[in-house]
Amino acid sequence: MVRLGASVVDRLSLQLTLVLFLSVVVVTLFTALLTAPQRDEIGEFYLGNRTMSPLRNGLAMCGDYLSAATLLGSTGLVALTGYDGLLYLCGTAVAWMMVLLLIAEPLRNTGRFTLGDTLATRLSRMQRPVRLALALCTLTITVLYLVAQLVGSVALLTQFTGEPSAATRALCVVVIGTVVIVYAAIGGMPGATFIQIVKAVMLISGVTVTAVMVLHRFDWNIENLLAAAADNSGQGTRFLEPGLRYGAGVTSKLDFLSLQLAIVLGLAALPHVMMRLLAPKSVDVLRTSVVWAMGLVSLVCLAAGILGLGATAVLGSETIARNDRTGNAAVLLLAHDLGGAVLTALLSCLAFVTLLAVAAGLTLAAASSLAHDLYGEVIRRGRATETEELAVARLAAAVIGVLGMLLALVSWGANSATLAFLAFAIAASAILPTLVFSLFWRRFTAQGALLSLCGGLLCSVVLVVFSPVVSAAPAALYPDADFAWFPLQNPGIVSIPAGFLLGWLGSILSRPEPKETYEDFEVRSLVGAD
Amino acid sequence: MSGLPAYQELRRTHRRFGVRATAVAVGGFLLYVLLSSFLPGLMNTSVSGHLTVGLALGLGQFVLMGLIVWRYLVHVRTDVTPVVRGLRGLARHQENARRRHGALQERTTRRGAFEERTSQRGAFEERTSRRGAEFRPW
Repeated sequence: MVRLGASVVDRLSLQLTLVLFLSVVVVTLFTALLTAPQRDEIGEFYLGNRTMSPLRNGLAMCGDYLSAATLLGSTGLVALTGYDGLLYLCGTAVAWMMVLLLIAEPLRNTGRFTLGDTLATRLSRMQRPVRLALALCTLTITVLYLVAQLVGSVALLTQFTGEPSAATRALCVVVIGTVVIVYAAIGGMPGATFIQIVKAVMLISGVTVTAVMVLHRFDWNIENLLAAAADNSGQGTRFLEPGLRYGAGVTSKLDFLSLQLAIVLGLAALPHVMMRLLAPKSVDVLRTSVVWAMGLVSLVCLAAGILGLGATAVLGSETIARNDRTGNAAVLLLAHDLGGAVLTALLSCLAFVTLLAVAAGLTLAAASSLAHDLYGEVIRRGRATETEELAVARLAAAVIGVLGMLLALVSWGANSATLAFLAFAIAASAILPTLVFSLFWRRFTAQGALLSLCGGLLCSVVLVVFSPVVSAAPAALYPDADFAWFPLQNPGIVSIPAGFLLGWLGSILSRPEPKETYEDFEVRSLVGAD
Repeated sequence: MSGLPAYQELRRTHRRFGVRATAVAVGGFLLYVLLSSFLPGLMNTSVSGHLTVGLALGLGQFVLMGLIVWRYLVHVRTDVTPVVRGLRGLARHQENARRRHGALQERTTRRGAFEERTSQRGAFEERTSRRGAEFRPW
């Protein structure tokens, strides 16, 4: 929700932010144009430079993985709800373990450009319907997450200018959306990679430096920091105990568990993260990259926890909540107190660049799914030339960007974090079961994949429509109507088991795949195709 | 290849490790969330000053993740990479033998000659690229 607009920052930091943001955008746009695929090669457009070093790959993965929701939303939650907010950050880091331990290596060994290619090697029958269902799920998740990023940019703008007028709002969304389209459509993966690395370096250094400043103010003593946070939160020691946000009863506790499930299982199945995993040329490089990303993500999560606690300790919960009810302003307020206009400008520029980079990655993932799975394999049955497919991918990037902009303008009042969590829930219930089953379960069949993809998507969407997110709650999209018979904000706890169950059911009810298909697939996923 | 005992052993150990490690990482975290939700009394016990058991366990999650990553890298280095390298070498050897055999039979056709040429070129490129590419972890 965008609320009453007390502007957080003064004029100087607004101007500084603008200058910084523009220079980052100009530099990255030029680089995107320079590194764009010269010849019409879809491999380069989808995967980028495949010989990057593990550290750079790890930075790009970290950039794709951490959105502005972590930087602003989660720190705000920590600042306002203490312990419960810290659990979010922990969940974000744990989710990357799934990628490292289960998904990354087999996916890279068996995949080519999209997850659809992995499924096509694994399932011998009904490949076109499966690709179609997969493209539909990918499109839903990416557009939802893209809208969350664009809505987040409006919320961020509110911190600067107060409640924006309709024209300012539209201008903000259109400018960010257009830059995103240029990155994705012209730059392709090389352009997106460059901005991800820039963003990751900015994010890691910015967050770490600010966390060090917080710790320095409290003499490097965690006990002082915790004591000050508890004192200034207005809650006393309750601030450092569970239940401040989700302690009202069994329903809200279940809601919290549901959300954590969606984060831990859904982040690993986000299409733009999986696409990034396919890029490294050898499996050693991939493994080292994922370990780098693990370390960087953990570092950012720990530092973000310190920032959230520090914001409460330095400013007090009341000041933070007065500026922004959801706490999104906490980091910027803290930066203003610690480092004045310059640090505020740095962190707000960082937030805008983060939005931009994640949105570019998402647009690219959606475009490649549309061009490769839907156009190349379903419509043209694999007979499309590279030039045609590339043209469709570029066009699709533009169409998805425009679609995201329109939806963001319609739903600008929605809570960006809620939208993102819904995207995670859909990813965890529609894509993750298919991914895990196809990698590890011999008996999995195309019918199972279809049922799990469509059923998981349908189940999570239907549960959201009949949840307090859409109706009956004060913060809902339609607060006046009441058709919310599903009590939880996040559908994960029901829809994720449903997705797995449907995949299992569809598989055992259908004819098994030939034995050799899975054996060949398994050899590829373990030994690799070099 | 899927019939080889070495491959079967690799498959078993790798899967066992992956399942266990994921269960510990994800299960440990979900257990932590459940404990926080339904046993707040235990989690609010103070360890020292304001640091409660809950907060300490939260930091412990990060330590646990570090440990699992370390075990995973050790597992890959000792149990996976050597076996995979051996199996890849075997597959390459078999492939070459099959190609040579096929090329002998089809030497008269242009297609066979072409395939032989490309396979020779492939082998050459592999040798040269192998020498050039050293692995840097950063």
